[in-house]
Amino acid sequence: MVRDPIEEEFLWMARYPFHPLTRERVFGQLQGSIEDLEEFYSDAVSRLGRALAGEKPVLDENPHRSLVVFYTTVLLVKYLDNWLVERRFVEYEAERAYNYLRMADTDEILKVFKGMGIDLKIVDKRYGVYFRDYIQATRDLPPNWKMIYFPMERGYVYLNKKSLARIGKEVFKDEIIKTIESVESVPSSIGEAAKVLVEAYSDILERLRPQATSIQTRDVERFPPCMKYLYANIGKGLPHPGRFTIVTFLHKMGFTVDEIISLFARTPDFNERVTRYQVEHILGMRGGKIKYDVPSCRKIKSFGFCFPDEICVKHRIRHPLTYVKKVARIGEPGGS
Amino acid sequence: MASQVDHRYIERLFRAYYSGEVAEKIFHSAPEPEKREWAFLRLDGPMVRHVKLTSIDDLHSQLDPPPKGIYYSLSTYEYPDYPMPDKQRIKTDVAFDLDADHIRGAVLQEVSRCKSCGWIGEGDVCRECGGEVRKIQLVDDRTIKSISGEVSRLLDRLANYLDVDIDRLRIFFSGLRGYHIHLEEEPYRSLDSVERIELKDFLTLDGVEIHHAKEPDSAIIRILEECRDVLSEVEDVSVRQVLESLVNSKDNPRHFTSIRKRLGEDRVLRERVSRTVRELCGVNIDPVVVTDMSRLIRAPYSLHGKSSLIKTPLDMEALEALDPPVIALASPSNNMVKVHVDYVPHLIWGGREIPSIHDEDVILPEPLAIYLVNMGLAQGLRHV
Ligand code: SF4
Ligand SMILES: [Zn+2]
Repeated sequence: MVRDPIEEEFLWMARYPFHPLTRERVFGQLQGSIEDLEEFYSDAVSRLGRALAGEKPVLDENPHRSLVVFYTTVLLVKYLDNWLVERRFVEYEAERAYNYLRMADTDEILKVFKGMGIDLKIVDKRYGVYFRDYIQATRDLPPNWKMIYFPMERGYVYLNKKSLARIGKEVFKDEIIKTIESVESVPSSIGEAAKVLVEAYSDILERLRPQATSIQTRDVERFPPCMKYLYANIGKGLPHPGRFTIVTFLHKMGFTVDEIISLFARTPDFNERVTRYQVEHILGMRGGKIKYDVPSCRKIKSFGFCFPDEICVKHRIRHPLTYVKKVARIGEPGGS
Repeated sequence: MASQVDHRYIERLFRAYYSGEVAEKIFHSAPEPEKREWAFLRLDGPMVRHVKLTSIDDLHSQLDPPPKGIYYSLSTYEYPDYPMPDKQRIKTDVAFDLDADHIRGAVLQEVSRCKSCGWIGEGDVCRECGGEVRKIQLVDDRTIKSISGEVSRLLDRLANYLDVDIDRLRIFFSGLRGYHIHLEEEPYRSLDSVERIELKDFLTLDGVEIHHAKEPDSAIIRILEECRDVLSEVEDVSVRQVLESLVNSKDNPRHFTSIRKRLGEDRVLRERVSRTVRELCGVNIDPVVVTDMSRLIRAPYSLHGKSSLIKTPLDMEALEALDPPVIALASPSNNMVKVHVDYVPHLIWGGREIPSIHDEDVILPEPLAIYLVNMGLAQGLRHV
């Protein structure tokens, strides 16, 4: 069967809607017309709803529509800005694309991986991933994914198709986060869609609420490296994601709003009122009353503040709060 | 430890060494020297850190009075002289430190000193009073030789499993107890901390459990195969059997699966097997040197404070032949010196046989005499 190449391309993009090649072609345009997406809200709500409910991804939708719905769902996730919602979404979308990747032929596999900047080569029906890409992709996988358990040759780790697809799924997660990060603004009307979602899935969202962390520490030495870094650099002026991250974290560690504000007092352009407003906003005391959570490691990594130490790596830390718990359990951080 | 007189003797030697052309060699021994943090261990104790050198003249000014040790950072920085958090790291060389102290099978000579009466000799208890002894370990040619195999092992792993170009590595005698291997190429200089930890685990086999091997030709099984000649040394019979059958399972996937399964179920056996594999097949590098990006390393061509030997570049051939002996290559001079030795066992130093000496004035090669003084086994250095 001969298919229309343009149609083929759409099918490909719908399978991997977060892929850099797709983003480049489609999302720039969509970002320009976000106010015209209302007709996709209800589909976006159900796509995210399925993700929240942990349902199996739906595969064979109309590719054109599915692409726009994906993007609209991303806008919704961005608006909600809750890491647990985001995590479910990321997991769902990665799983969805993974199902396609498992069935993909060699050309498609190469296009998917190379397009995400992964150094991949095929030798004797095995897939060789360059060891650096392999390590990055398997960071969050359990320790039985250490590269030494696979055949290795001159810098490449050799995998069968199934294992390759599995690590592809991990790389997808990063790309999905990048897609969310790349959103510059959300449509003004999306709050309505969010309301519908929150009502329909209130029970699940309730369950998704992070349990209060019982472990707190005010000892910077026991902070994870990302937070140590941010804390040390508060006085130099942090970019917005950095401020956001450290504020949510310090609050979780039991710092009061006043204490947090006083840390910012050392910044060159300190303005108490503005800072107070921002901090209270982040902590959900103002505005939308949305209480933001401490971002996940994946997210912090995408901000560029992740400097993992042995504890992060050994325990496959995925959230900075888990690091604090781990350190409380095993004692001193750092190995040297 | 050393007396005033000995101190002055050593200082004179260091001064003479550093006043020559060597400063230029030291400066250029670091790729991009102006972007490194330099550090100088002063003869009187303190370490002066966060020094930025922009020229050989800057280095000269640090060499008078002569330092006991010269180091530079594995990382390059935008601001090498700023405090650590503000330096802004650019790239970090990977260095491997192979030190006799943590290498299985390293040969060291031992001297015992009684903790109560000061008796000195060989053995586990004092021959005078039967008291407890403190052991002092000494390096000689045999030590260096005994760990050169570990260097080959490291290089093989780096070249075969990773893609390190061995010809571009710089290999050094560290100045006393072993080797430093500098890897200054991309992409290794750019590895982030997760990648460095994985690299370290890959080499040391830290946390590696063999039953996770996915296939009979997995890297870990091939590594096991490469050390098959030491497998017969394994005393624990059940562990030895497991390892031997894993090595032999190449052509028998069913067999491979069944051993994996057995290990998966038997936690105690699994742990014993893992420990054995780590001990036999892991490369005995100092793990922290690989993972810590703020690490300093001794500068090539500088003197080791304890031995006064030079951190000396070695080419692969010299390394394999070990001839002339590394210690001879690394000696800053061929001078002989008179010294009073309390005790030394028989040593082979720079190709020279040194018989066991007990409470005697003798004439020794200068670096050996200094080494013994620094180890508290000799005193009273005098020119011949
Ligand atoms: S792994 Fe997580 S906890 Fe560790 S430094 Fe990175 S973001 Fe922080
Ligand atoms: Zn005694």
